[in-house]
Amino acid sequence: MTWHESVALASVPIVAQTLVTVLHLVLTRLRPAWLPWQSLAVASAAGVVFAVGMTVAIVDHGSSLDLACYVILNSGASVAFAFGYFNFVNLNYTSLRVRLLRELAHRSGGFTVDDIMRQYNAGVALDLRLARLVKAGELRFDGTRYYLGSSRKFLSIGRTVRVVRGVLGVRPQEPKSVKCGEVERS
Amino acid sequence: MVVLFFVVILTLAALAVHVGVWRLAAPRLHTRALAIIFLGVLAAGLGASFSGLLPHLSAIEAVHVALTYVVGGLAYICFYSAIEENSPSTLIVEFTAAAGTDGRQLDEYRTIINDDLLIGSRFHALLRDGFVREQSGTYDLTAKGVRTARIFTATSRLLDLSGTG
Repeated sequence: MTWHESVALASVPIVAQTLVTVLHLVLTRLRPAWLPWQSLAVASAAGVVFAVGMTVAIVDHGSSLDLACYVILNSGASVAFAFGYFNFVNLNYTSLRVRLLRELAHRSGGFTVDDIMRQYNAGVALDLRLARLVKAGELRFDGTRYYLGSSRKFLSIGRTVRVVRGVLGVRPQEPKSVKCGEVERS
Repeated sequence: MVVLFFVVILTLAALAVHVGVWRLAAPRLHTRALAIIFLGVLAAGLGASFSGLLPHLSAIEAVHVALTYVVGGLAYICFYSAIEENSPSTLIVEFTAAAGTDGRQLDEYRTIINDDLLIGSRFHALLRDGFVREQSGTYDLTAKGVRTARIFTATSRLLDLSGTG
């Protein structure tokens, strides 16, 4: 394999992720009615297909074993890149910490915990989350009660997390009091 | 083939060190510890290759190994954040699943989703990680907090988002 081919092969996941990012941004504008995960899934799938195609095109005269190894490597790297991008985008949709930071950035002259609680509390967050989970098919709402929906993604994620916690011997952090005057640097 | 070999071996080695360290004494700052483990194993692996203890890698192969391995490591660190803290959405779905066919009423969710879980833990994390600081009873964003808020505000504009979180 020439030096240029090696450089091209190493660059494939980066180029594929650039494609994923651009395609995702285009899809969010062209298909605003789609769920965020739909445009991300389509863009990510396109990125992986692109990575596999480019890898096959670059290693066209190598052995089958080399080709298989590079396809696994570059498709794996593209999936990992797309997963990282998904998490970054997801922070914008669901992260309370990011929401807090963005809201606090607009306050000048400092703020108290009571200021935050007046604007943003569990009641508001719960309503938002339930609505989002119903829209995503994770929950079903009949007007009075919530039931498990047809999608079981979050249930699978929860089970996987519990298995990994068991392997690592990790327990999730205990919730900390939000009462005024009790927030301290830990 | 040697590139894939290195990525697989280094990833397995980093995960083994990670499990070993966590089993012995889990560090206080998990993300930083994970980053140190992953980068340390990468440095050791590349060093072993250049010193002849492991198969030799050319410079561009070493870059390919490092790129793929680091991206995989970052993806694992993203996944790890779900292990560190309970996700409210996952808690809600699991709580609903536990009720079976009876389902849950809105009030029942308030027993698991409260201000301490949603706001308290996150506000403590913002203080601990240096995004927010306390000054005589009130709080304000640090320079790091302002920079991070700007990044996410710009991203939200790019993605045309509002009212999320």
